[in-house]
Amino acid sequence: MSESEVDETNAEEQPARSPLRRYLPLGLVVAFVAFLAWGLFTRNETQPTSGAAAPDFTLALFNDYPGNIGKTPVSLADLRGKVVLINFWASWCIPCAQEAADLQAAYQQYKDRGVVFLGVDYLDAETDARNYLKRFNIDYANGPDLGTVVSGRYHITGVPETYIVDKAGIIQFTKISPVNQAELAAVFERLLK
Amino acid sequence: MIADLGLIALVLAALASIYSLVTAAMGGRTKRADLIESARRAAVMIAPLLTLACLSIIISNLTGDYSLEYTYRVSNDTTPTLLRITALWGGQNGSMLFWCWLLSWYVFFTFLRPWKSNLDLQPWVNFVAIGTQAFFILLVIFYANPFARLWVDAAGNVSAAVFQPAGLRAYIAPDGTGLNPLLRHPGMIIHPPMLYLGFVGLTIPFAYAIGAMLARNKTDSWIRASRRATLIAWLFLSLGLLLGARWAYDVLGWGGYWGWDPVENSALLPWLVATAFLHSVIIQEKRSMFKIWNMVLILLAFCLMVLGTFVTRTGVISSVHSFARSSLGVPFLLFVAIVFVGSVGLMIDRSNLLKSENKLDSLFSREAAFVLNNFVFVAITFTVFVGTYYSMFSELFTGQKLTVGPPVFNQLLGPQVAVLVLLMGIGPLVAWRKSSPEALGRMSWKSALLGVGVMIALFALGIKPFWVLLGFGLIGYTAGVTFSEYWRGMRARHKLSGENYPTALTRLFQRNRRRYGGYLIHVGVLVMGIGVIGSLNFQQQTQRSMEPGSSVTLGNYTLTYDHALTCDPTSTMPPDCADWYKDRGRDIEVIAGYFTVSQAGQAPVELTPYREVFLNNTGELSPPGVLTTIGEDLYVIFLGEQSGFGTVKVFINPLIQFLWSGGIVLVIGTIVAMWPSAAERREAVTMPERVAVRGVVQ
Repeated sequence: MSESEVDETNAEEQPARSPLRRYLPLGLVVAFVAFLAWGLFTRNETQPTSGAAAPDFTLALFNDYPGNIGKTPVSLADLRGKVVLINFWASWCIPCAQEAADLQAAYQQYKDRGVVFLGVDYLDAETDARNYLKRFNIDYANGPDLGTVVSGRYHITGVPETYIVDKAGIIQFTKISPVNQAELAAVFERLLK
Repeated sequence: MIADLGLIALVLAALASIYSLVTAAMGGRTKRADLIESARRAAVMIAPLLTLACLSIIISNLTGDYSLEYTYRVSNDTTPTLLRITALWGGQNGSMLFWCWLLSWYVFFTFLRPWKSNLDLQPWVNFVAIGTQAFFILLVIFYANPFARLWVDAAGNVSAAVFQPAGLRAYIAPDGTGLNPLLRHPGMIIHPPMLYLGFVGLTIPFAYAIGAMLARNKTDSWIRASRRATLIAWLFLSLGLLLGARWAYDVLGWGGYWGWDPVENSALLPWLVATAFLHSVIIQEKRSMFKIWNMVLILLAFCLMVLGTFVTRTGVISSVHSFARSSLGVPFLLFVAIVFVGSVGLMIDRSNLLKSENKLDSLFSREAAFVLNNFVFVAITFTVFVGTYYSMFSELFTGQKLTVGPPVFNQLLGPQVAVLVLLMGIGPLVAWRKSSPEALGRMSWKSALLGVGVMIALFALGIKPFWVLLGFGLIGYTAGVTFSEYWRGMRARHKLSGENYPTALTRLFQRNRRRYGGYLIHVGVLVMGIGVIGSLNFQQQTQRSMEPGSSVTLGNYTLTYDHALTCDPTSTMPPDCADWYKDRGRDIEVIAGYFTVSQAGQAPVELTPYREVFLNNTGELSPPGVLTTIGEDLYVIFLGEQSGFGTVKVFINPLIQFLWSGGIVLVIGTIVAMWPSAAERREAVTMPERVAVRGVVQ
């Protein structure tokens, strides 16, 4: 705004503007359109679906939140042979709170049967995240998605999002909204057979 | 059969728009009246043709013509009649056709009667408006055709195409897949058309602006001529945003109404710029200043609309609203490039037309207040823009997708909105050209006192956060100023002509609808502000897992859990479920919680929040049970039942009614402001002469 004000008031004194100033807006717009073109052609809509191999990642866990994995950092490839639930969440996410109790209950039910839960904390502050974990008495493995690398590989569209990976590393369940204990149990029973 | 007629009508509409486009350009260059008139007539034909096309889709939906891919996707045998009609905009291809249809009616009314004024602009306005129309019609025909049919090959693979591919047989699906369950709610039926009406409406002022530059017209006749269209577009944009917020609140069940999602932001951005434009054109009309700036604003509003449509319809930015992803990307990008580069290039080329005729006389003037207002609007727009596109920027420059969350938006925008509210109070009080702080003080000390009084009273009531007090104080001040403007006007009329006060108020509105309607919009915004501050800062919530008969208390409410009801249509359902499936598709599972709310001294109320789980795995809704009072909403979400225990989330959303009622005031104010008055009708007749005279003086 201030720039155009200058234009208005000085219009009479300087009738011709330098070519750079004259064509700078055009340059910016062309650059922006190029940016959109880049966005269009690199957009990756392929969110992994059931039946696809789960993209691998390494996650450094929060201290005190090793869950039933027992080591940090953990990589998904290390967990081959186990059924893995990957849950993307954040302390600021309201629907996440809806499913928190269900996730923890499902974990209690299946943690000794070879099911690993991995909470991936998305775009969060560590203190907030820890308070959230305490509030819902969550004790399965949890770690921050530093640099949004993990969420990037799974192309998540928001939180919560849940993936269940079978013993062979193949995704068998995805959900883009809160999960409940019953539906998780159904999937685990099927995969543990 | 019916669908074939629709397809023919669509193709004819495309031909008419291309004819009108070419003829208008030729007419504009050669100034031949017969060509210009022919272009106008062709433009008017498009709306009836597209109406036929839309009707044929609706009839196909109603009759369940599952040979049509679109009907197959958005309808099925259990879809109620109303939803079969609204399914016209329930899928990507149909909604693109619907979009074209709405645009065609704006074009229709703009060109229905031969123009009597602005004849130099007419061919170019026609050219730009129809150019936009033609693009969208061609997009529908070639990339999002709702008239595509289903075909099957020898191996039984079904595909869709408009014309019969070689070797494939026609295929009629036994039943459709049904409308996306998210789009079956009444709020979702009415919200998209309102938003679309706002979006496409911006085409008309955009066409006037570009048309004025193409015609090398130095006057501001384009602003006057397109003012009503701009206000109509703004009204529908506002309605679309409000209804979207209401829908989110009523159905999504997260206790809020605005989530700073990219799609919401994409609709908010053009609204912000259009609002800035509606303010800054006043300076151009009164003082012939800021011509470049106004041009920039209206072009920006249109560009942001096109950009928002592009990013959300092509999935460039991912969002929870991604109902529709498609192959529209490349042609749409081309259109974005033409609109953006063309607008800026044309402005650079014609910048000599857009010189200001006056200077800012004083920093303490109405003009300066408007400048500041525009500055803040643009700053807000910039903030929302960067926040929305941040994930794309960060991915380009750092390789990581970083998203900006609601808290960041709220923190960054809060102070900016506060400045805007303050300006809303100061602006109307400072005089054009030059004013003084003393004059401002004289006129607003009572309102300032009111604002401070509000702050002290709230502090005494125990409200401590500084920003909240400041927010309510500003609202108090600005409300004081706004109502005293009405009072001053009324009293002046009363003293001069002896009218009684109600008559004086009515006449006040009649004499200057734009000004006093505008103030009414301000009142609406202030009332909405109360709701926003209240719900953002004083929301209370709790979550419990409860056994039947047990209670939870929040605020003055005691919520008792009675029982849960689960209705899964794929198995045998309890008899109580029948009530839930009167108007509901059998592809939705319902899990309802029955509660009783009791308050001291009041009769108990039953609340039944429920969850709708879509059995095709596309998601779910959690419509809350809401107990509404003037001061607050008790908002209950049922999360489900497990081993006899029901899980419930309870919110108290204070002052939220103010948000909705403020929205209604805003809409009424807009209608008042745009309603033609007798004086305006007279002005419309004499305007060309006046404009011509001013042209000579330049």
